[in-house]
Amino acid sequence: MKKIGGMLLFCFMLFMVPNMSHASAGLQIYLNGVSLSPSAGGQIIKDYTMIPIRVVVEELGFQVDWDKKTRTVTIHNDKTSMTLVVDQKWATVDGKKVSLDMPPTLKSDTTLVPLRFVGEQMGLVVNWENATKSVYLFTSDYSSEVTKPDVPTTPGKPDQGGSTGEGSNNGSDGTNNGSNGSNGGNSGNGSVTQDLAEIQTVTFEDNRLVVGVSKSDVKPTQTKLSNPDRIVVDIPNAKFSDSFFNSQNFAANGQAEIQLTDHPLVSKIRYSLFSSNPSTVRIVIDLNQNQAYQFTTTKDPNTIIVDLNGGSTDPGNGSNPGTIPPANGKYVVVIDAGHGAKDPGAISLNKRNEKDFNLAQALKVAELFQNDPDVQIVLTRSDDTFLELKERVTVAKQANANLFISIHANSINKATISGTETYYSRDDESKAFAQVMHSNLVQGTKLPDRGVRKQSLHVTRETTMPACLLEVGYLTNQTDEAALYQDDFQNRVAQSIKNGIKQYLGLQP
Amino acid sequence: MRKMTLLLGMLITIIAIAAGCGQKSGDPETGGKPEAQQHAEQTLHIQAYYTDDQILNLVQEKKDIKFADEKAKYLEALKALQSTDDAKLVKLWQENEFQSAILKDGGALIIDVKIPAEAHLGASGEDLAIQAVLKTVFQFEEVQSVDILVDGQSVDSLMGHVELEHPYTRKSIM
Repeated sequence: MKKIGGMLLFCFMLFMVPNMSHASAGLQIYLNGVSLSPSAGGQIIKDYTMIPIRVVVEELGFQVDWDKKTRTVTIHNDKTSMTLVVDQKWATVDGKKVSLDMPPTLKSDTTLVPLRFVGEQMGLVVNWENATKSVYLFTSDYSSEVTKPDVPTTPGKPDQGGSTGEGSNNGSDGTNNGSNGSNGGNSGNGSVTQDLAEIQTVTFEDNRLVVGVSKSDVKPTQTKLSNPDRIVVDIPNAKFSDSFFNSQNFAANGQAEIQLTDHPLVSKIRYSLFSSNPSTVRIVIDLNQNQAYQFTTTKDPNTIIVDLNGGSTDPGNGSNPGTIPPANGKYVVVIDAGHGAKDPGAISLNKRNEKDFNLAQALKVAELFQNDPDVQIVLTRSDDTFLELKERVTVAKQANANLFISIHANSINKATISGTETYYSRDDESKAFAQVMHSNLVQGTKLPDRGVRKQSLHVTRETTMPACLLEVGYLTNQTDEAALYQDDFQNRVAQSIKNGIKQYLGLQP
Repeated sequence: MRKMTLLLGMLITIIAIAAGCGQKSGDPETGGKPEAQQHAEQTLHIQAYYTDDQILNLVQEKKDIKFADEKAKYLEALKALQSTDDAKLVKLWQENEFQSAILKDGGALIIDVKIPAEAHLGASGEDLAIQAVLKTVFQFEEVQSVDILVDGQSVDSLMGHVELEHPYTRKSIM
């Protein structure tokens, strides 16, 4: 019955489309969750949302120049500049010619430009939700929040009745969900999406968010955002199970919350059915501070876990040096090239020195982070000098480092032994850090994975921030040695180290 | 008959040392006649330590060491770490040289080693190499502390990953 209803609705909507394309009726534009003023005058022309250039300036905040003679619109901000000409099916973006599906058009003395094209080129995320005829724009620094605003989709107006009514409302984040207890909004565009995973539980205990899911094949994504600090987890092709939905206090806007009072790390956790196509559940952890975390999924039981313990040994004090960026807003990561000068480290099969590999590799990592907005690299040595082990630790302490990574190459008097190892010494956040670094590193080295190991090594034990030591490969193995001194290999490894650092810090790669 | 007693005495020593609670029965210091000891070559069963090809753990193997002078047994025991017949084991001290191992007053054993750069090991190899030395010499009950020197010098680290303690005590191998 429900399915038929859904089909009927689908057909009904098909009929509605031509109507919609003539008028702007129902078209809503939201920027970072805030509705643009109704006078914005956005309209749909041939399935494209067009907005007056005035809106581009007033609402989106870009600079616009209009040349009446040539009918040319120039839109720019500090990063991007584009030129569009009325009725011309191409535009120029930062000097490059780009074809347009829908050119700018003149309508009763107003110049309309295609919203998606302009928005995306200017760095906005543009989402179109057909069911509610809504455009959601997000600036990249904002990203999207857990719920879209309560879309005025006629909560009071009777819909087409029965199960179809639920379907038509699903774009509104389940605004009506609670009304009949059948969690209709979650059934999504029933005619399109099948077999959704069901979110059965959302709990937060011991600094771990655990989401219980009915299926194992979910592909959640996670993003860390700042201002305010929060972790956003999206679970596509998922909905809330009926029993979970009914057990929760979902507000009229389709959002439910776990409030955490006096928790050192987290202020609250919010979740909602964020999108209906594909049906996506979004969970947001609102943090009190920038916090490192680990993101994992498990099978049997099927869960999605965000573990905030990864960045803090004592969740009670919230003053973990490993996760709080220093005053200038950048994380400080110490890269320690092992050995140096009078200490050559190990000697390779072809009589090359370990210290030279270590230095080259460390410098390549530092180079990758040049101009990085979030991470500042401090090298213990940037040339062939010798430091005692404790001096390396001192460098990290004085730099007030957030992370410490020592780079080495391995050696053993058995030529068959080959592969990549990562070491940590302290059972605190160093272990998680080593695991993150290692999983990235082995992708970079493409050498046998010899695992994450615990060993009492001076630099990883005596430092106070998460610390690990990378034994990238074996100088005493022919394959490893050949790779270790190659530029390509070192570049790949440097990138994998960067990826690991960014992943551990929860930064965008 | 005399031979039998000697054999029995040696057996007791061996068992005692192997059990880690050596008694003074075979100790030359109490014998008081050094020149007699020099001629009688002794054989001792000890445990020598190597690692597996994962370079994760120490693996012990029984070895016989021979020495005429009781004072030489520490060096002989250490040299046992440099060879094994088991191809599966990895020798941690194969290319490094034990130059001397002298027991001082109060049970302080001073080991002098030479570490050629060619013999430098990685992080876990270095750690295990040190542990192998300590476990080997702490089999002798009279050894209370161990100081490892490189060419007579007290250095920060043997191979640049693990700091040396000067000296190690029995607690260090816990």
